[in-house]
Amino acid sequence: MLEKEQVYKELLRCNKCGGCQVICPTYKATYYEGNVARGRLFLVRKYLENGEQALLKTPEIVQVLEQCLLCESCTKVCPSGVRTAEVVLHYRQQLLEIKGSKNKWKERLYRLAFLNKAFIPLAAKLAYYYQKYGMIPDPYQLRSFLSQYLDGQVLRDNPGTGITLPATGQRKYKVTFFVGCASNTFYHGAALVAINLLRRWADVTLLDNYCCGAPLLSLGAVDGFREVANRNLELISREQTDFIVTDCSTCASVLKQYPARLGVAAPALTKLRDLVEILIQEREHLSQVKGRGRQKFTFHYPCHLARGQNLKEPTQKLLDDLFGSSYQPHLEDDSCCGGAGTFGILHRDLAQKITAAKLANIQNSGAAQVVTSCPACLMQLGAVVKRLALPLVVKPLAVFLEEAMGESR
Amino acid sequence: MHSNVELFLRALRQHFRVDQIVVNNEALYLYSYDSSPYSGQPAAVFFPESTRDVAVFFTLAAKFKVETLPRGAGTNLSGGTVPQRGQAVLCLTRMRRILAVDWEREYAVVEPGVTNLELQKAVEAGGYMFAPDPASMNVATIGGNVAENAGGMRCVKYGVTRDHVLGLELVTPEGKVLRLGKLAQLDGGYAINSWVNDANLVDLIVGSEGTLGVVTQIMVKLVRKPVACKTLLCSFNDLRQAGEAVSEIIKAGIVPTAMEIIDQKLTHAIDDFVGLGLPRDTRALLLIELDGWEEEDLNAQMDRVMLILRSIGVTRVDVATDSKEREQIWLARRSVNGALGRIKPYYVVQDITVPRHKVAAMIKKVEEIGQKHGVTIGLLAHAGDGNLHPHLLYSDREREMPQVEAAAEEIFKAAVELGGTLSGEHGIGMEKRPYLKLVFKPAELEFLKAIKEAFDPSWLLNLEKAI
Ligand SMILES: Cc1cc2nc3c(=O)[nH]c(=O)nc-3n(C[C@H](O)[C@H](O)[C@H](O)COP(=O)(O)OP(=O)(O)OC[C@H]3O[C@@H](n4cnc5c(N)ncnc54)[C@H](O)[C@@H]3O)c2cc1C
Ligand code: SF4
Ligand code: SF4
Repeated sequence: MLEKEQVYKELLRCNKCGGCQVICPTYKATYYEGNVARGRLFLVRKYLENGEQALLKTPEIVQVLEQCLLCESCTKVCPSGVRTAEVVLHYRQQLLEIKGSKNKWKERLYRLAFLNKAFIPLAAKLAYYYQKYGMIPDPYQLRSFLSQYLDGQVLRDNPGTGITLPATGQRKYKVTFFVGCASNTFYHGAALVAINLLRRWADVTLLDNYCCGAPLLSLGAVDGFREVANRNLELISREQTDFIVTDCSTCASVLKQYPARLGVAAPALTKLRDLVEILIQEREHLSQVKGRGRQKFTFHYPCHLARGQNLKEPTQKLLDDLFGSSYQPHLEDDSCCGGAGTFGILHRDLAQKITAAKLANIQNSGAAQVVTSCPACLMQLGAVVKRLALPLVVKPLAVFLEEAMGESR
Repeated sequence: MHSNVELFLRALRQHFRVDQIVVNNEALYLYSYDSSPYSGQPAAVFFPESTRDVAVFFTLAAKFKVETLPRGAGTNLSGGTVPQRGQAVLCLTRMRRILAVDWEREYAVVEPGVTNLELQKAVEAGGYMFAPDPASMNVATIGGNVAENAGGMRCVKYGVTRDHVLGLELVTPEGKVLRLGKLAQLDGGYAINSWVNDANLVDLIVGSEGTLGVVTQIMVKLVRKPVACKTLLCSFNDLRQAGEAVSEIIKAGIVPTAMEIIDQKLTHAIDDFVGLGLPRDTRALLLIELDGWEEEDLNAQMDRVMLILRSIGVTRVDVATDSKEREQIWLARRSVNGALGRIKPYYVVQDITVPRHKVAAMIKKVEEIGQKHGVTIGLLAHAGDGNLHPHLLYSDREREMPQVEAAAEEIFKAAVELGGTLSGEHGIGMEKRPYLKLVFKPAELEFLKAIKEAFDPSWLLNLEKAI
């Protein structure tokens, strides 16, 4: 988290060249200056000149802060390297601290949900509902929905039992699987496939972890974030294991940020791998993949994979290598899908516009399937594919690979 | 004027959707600036979606006598889109359709909000390009390019925007729609290369900085993309030597696509961004791009250029041929303005243009003036067409502004003394208006005003800019 002085430095480095318009997904959905890094930074700067309190209560400022995807695309093209997402995070934090902030209820809900393992499914339920019906449930519907909820038990019952699922092939090492909230409850099927993939060469245990903290972080709920992060760090440090792997690129990216955000050293985190990373490392175990001559597919590089972890190029290489010309990159394949955690739910119209633009690029590539490594992206892409009734299949990476290895579960 | 604005806005709301009109005070801050250091609050922002929308807007503005101001991407560097008189802004970013691409007759027709990059991408597949390539091409709109008569790296060889606009559709401040140049011929079913005897209004509109009307369609010339290219990164111990190299190359009758000079400070800033490993110890970097239709042609040019460079004392030449590497180098060059934030937070960029053989002399002047006033100056030049961009950098607006302004004025004067002019491509805008007297005689200024009045008899569009 940036300190005030660092935030000022970021703000001063923006000299309004406008270059970020070329990439900012919220700008390209609206062509409105309030939806691009330059506008966001300018308004914040302007408000600093006029005094903080007044402007943080101004709906327009709140809006420009809330409508940022935190996708960091702008930083990549910004010649001055301005970290707009960090500036936005800083002010979201300030917003929360203001008395009577309408985000307070969200913070409470998030704390309840993400600091308490039993409530984790709640968040997933919201997401599930969103995907199925394309809308946010109202509180009354949610109640009945809660009681109906039965999904996702498999993984949720397993963590923390200390049970190790033994390797099915020759054992090379031990892996601890970090169970992301969305993976756990909504994409638990895919998570199980990922686990079984890892078991081809490793023993796997499930970590009884908390939420990685991404939703708290993006809300600006820094205290809550620190709390979950510390709890997770403690759990991870206690693990006797060779690698910690997660099949969620957002979790992986956020976990990797712990040392910087908490200001602590965390040697245990050097064992952390995104599923994609460990697959690259264990390329030889994918030799069964029948990649060539398949139906064309494309890969969506999630923000947290491409920019959060700088893993776009290695991933692309792996796919090229395994699949040759069956793998078709699409235009702007590392631009945010519009899901951005809860963004897809909270700013539904804007998000769906962004997703629709993304899907048009995907379709233009001629691919019939789009594969990705983050549940939030899967959810967002899936929901909009469904709403627009597009002839596209959205697939988790592990599931896609398993199919390519010619096995049916 | 205030109550007029209220009535005007009420009338606008009857014609358009709410999301086409911004009136909220805080949201309006977002349209108070451009890439220049100036700012001013607009009365409202309107997003037209068609020529008709623009015409209705102007008709209403004329009726209620409300001042207006067009805006594209807002990347101009001279305050051109700053509504310092509280005008109603007409923002064209949502008019971004490519209306036609005609490969056979080599033209395209686009709406003004299409960005230069979007146009490039649309024609690239057919082996074509829109030759003007301002450093802001990723985001600057074609409407903005036309209004500022934008130039770019390739302009040494291919000319500026004016040389590539075939026709225009213009809505005048009174709401009249005019179809000009080849666009009119197209409408009339004439062959576009036929010669029709009419006044060349297109050339008058290009570069008029949005003071005569709003451009709603642009018919541009498409140019075949050269097949073979080489980029040379030449290091010198001295900026003036780089300037001399440019003069010599041109004297020898070689026409590179681009010749750009970048000084050491700026080289460092952009290399921090792209991480190309540019030669950091060099005092002056000269980027030369050569293009051609065949390898042999290119190699012959290259040999002659190398001879000249050596005779002037080049210390190092790196040659890039593969397209990815070249792209990175030009990306680096295009990022200069943006990367300045890495050196100091604010800058004023000048746009003086001198005869090409005076580039070295002008560089010397700029260095002297910077030293005299104690102002940090980063120097960048489209040296191939004599266009220099000294960037006057500062951190403290109040304290340093007087020196910066004094240095700026002296640079303007020096350019004019060398037979040059105030602006090559960034426009006069607000910034250079006070210096117009340096280049125009009173009678000429009167004439410019008469032209303005012919288009805008009530004086409502984009006042106190450019003229
Ligand atoms: C990093 C950077 C690099 C740059 N490099 C170059 C360069 O290499 N060469 C160069 O020439 N310029 C350069 N510029 C300046 C600027 O980008 C160009 O002038 C560009 O053409 C402006 O386009 P825009 O869409 O941003 O127009 P705006 O800034 O929005 O508008 C510019 C002017 O045009 C008028 N206008 C806009 N649209 C219309 C329309 N449809 N009809 C009538 N009037 C209109 C406005 O009123 C205003 O006066 C650079 C700027 C930046 C920030
Ligand atoms: S690209 Fe960077 S410097 Fe340029 S306007 Fe955007 S944030 Fe500011
Ligand atoms: S982080 Fe993403 S959404 Fe936010 S300003 Fe940058 S590019 Fe736009």
